[in-house]
Amino acid sequence: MMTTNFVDIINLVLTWAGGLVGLDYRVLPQLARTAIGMLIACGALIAYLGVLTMIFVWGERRVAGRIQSRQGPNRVGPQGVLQLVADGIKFLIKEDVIPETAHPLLFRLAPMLVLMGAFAPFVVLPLSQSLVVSHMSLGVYYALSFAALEVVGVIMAGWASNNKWSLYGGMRLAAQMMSYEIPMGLAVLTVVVLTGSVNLGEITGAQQGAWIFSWNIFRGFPWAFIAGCIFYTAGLAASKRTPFDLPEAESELVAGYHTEYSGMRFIMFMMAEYGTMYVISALTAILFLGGTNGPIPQVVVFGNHTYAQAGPIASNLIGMANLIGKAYVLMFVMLWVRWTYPRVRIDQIIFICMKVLVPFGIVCLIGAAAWAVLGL
Amino acid sequence: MPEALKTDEILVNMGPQHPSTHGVLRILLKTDGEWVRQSRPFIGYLHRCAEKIGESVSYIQYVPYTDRLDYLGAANNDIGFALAVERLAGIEAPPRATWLRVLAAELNRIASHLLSFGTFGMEIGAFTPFFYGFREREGILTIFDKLCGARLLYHYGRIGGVMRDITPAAADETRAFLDDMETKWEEYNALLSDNEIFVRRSANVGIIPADLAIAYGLTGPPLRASGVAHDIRRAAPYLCYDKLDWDVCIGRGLKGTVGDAWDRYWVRMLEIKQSLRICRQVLDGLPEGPVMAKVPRVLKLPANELYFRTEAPRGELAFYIISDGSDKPARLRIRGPSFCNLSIVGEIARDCLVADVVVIVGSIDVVMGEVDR
Amino acid sequence: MSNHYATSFANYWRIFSRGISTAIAGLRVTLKYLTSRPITVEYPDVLPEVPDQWRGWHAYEMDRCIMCRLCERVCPIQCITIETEGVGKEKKVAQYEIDYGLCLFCNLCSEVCPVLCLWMTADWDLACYRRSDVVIPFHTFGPNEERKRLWPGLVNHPQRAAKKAPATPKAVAPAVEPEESKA
Repeated sequence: MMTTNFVDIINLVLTWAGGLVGLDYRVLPQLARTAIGMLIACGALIAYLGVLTMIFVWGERRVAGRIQSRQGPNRVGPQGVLQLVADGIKFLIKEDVIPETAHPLLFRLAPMLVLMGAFAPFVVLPLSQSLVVSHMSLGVYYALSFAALEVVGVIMAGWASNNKWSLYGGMRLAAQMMSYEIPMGLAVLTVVVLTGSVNLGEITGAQQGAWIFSWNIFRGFPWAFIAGCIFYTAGLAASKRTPFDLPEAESELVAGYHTEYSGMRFIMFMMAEYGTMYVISALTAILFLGGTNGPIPQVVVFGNHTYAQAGPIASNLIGMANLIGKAYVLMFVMLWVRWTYPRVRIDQIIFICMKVLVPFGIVCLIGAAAWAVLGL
Repeated sequence: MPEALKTDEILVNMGPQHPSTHGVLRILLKTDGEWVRQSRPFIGYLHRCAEKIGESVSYIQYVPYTDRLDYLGAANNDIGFALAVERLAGIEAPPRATWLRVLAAELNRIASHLLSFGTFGMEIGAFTPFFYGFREREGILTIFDKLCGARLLYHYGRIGGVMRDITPAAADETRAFLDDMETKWEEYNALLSDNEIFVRRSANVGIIPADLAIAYGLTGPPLRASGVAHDIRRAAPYLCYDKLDWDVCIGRGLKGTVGDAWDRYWVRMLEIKQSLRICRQVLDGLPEGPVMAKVPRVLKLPANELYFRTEAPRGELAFYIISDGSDKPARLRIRGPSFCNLSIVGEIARDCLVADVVVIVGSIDVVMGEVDR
Repeated sequence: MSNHYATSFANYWRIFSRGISTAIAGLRVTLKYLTSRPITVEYPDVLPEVPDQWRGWHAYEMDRCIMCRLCERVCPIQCITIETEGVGKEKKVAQYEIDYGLCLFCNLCSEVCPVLCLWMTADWDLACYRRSDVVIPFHTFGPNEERKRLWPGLVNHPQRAAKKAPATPKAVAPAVEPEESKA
């Protein structure tokens, strides 16, 4: 299991760069070096989140267009890739409109909380074996607990807008997101029980060996397979995507809890949505689909003879390709599902959560525990 | 403990600018949390004095105005008005014109129901059926392009016949469209009609019992979905509907109760199929002859009155004309089907969720042009 | 109030299995269109196909006009303005304007003209930048030779063209694409 992380890599790069210029980076105390490394790492992650949003909004609009027998944006830049840059510029230069009767502090604070809740799990999500900001021992637990922060942000947005429609959206969303964290937790517990650790690195490591058949969905079949479906569906609800996008139901509530937001504040909500989508997809890939061990093998072994073994940099690249490929495919499925299904009503959303996902989740957990006890 | 909590009912306004109401409609909802206790529609935002204009232009000049009442099913409107005036004037349109009128009316019925399918899906949250519906509508609008030179407001049915004969190219394109529509109809069912989420959103929602439907004067798909087999094309046949082979579609409560929103949606889908049948029969059996009868340039009607009803895509569209011997009507009254159909929203949309109000209005499928005139 | 909450055991499994099966069926339909060609016509790079009988804006042959004002009278919305000057043999058209902000495109004016000097062409591009440009002054378009130069397809009234060449099946005025914008 690799113990180098992103901060170490950044420190290595800075030392080398310092050597070029003639300065010795190691003169700075350890704490300062770690702090600088973490700041740069977080900056890189924010940039990644921004790039991710741009890629996936472009992808969403093109995929939506092709599903609907039309083209998506294809005029701004080749194949329309600069459309998001144009939209970003438009949002940046918009007037900052705050309703007169909105609560001044909470209205401004709400998008930040939502973005924090969506962005904080990025710290724990790896891009490859060693490109992770922190090998936290609490990995998955940390990621799930920050989803709760989004709920607070959304209720704040709904209430502080001083708009009945936003209030409806906020209240619905509170009910929806809180309920769906239960099946998410149960599905994650299934994997934790199978692996014996909450650390994402260890969970990935336990899925090595037999190419794709060592993935958790096959290792803990059928419990982990069902748990994977439960986690993905609950994640769809947690990121407010159709069919669970009632809080931002355009045809009913104009735009739900973010009706009154425009400009950069709206972009923060959008980034939070795509961030949560990515977190769910990446977590599904890591917990259930092997993470960095994937279709592209890093070690080719037949019997006892190792035919090929990738070195540290190559295996990192292959791991990144595996993980990011799987996460992006799962995000594509999220887009595909959005443009196919109608919206589920709020009481039916709670029905699905409490009466379908939670019972199945409990069954999976007990089954996985039985598997673990029986040593399978 | 509900007694200890102080709850309040809030008044929420849906519209007139709202992404889901079909045009400019305002519905005032009195809600208790998510539950709607009372609802009341407000209309009049699209009033264009259509009936008053009828008193100051002549009969021949008024036909283009009738197109604009139900602008989504325009062919039915001007054909209805032309038939009413012809009855009063004693003019008989040639048989070829009659059959072409049926073709235009039924093609427009398909187009109108496709749009209602798309917008109903969009209100429930499925964005894709809207585009598929419009893609098929594009096929119909290009046929009308070739038939009469306009895409939406045709002025095809005239007093005395139709404007232009159908060319062989247009007839071939119509046949190709009819065949294509059969396959697409199956796809729409796979995508939307049978989808469990859609069924759970619309079945058992907005149930209109048959006697309530008749009491409120509902006509068209909402009435037939409640089980009442009343279609004016069969009850009081006009044009050549009695010579063609087609069925009246009624709701049977396949997914829920008879008369719920899914039934109203399904009756429209079934009517698309029946219209395809009718169009094929018309194309195969089109009689030869001229397409326009001799109508005087200045058409004066004897003093009389007539209430003439037709089956528009949304229900019974009727024209009540009082003529006084001149070339302008003394009074022209239009019975728009959506006006009566909308009146049931206040009765039905209570003790339901806010999301259901949208479903109910969408399933009744109103067009504000007809409601407000 | 319909009761969605109490579901029997059998109903529960029915809903569950139908949910999964219809979900997969829906995904298959959208996948089919995801992988097929879009039907978009990429305007303005590609112009839409407009049939010849399209009711676009009018063509008016001032030389043939006999100033009977039948078109002005039959228009349901009175969008045609005609002014004449002179009397008897000297009568000339001083103003012939159609306000396309009002026009219903109903074709009554063309059908009623006794000398076939007014007809609707397949010219669909009526967009302009100023509200006043919507009123088109047909009398300023000069003698017919200049108009035929500007709009070469705008040759003849469809009925006149049909009489001249009855053998060809599509004997109507061809689609018109004006070469310059009408600013």
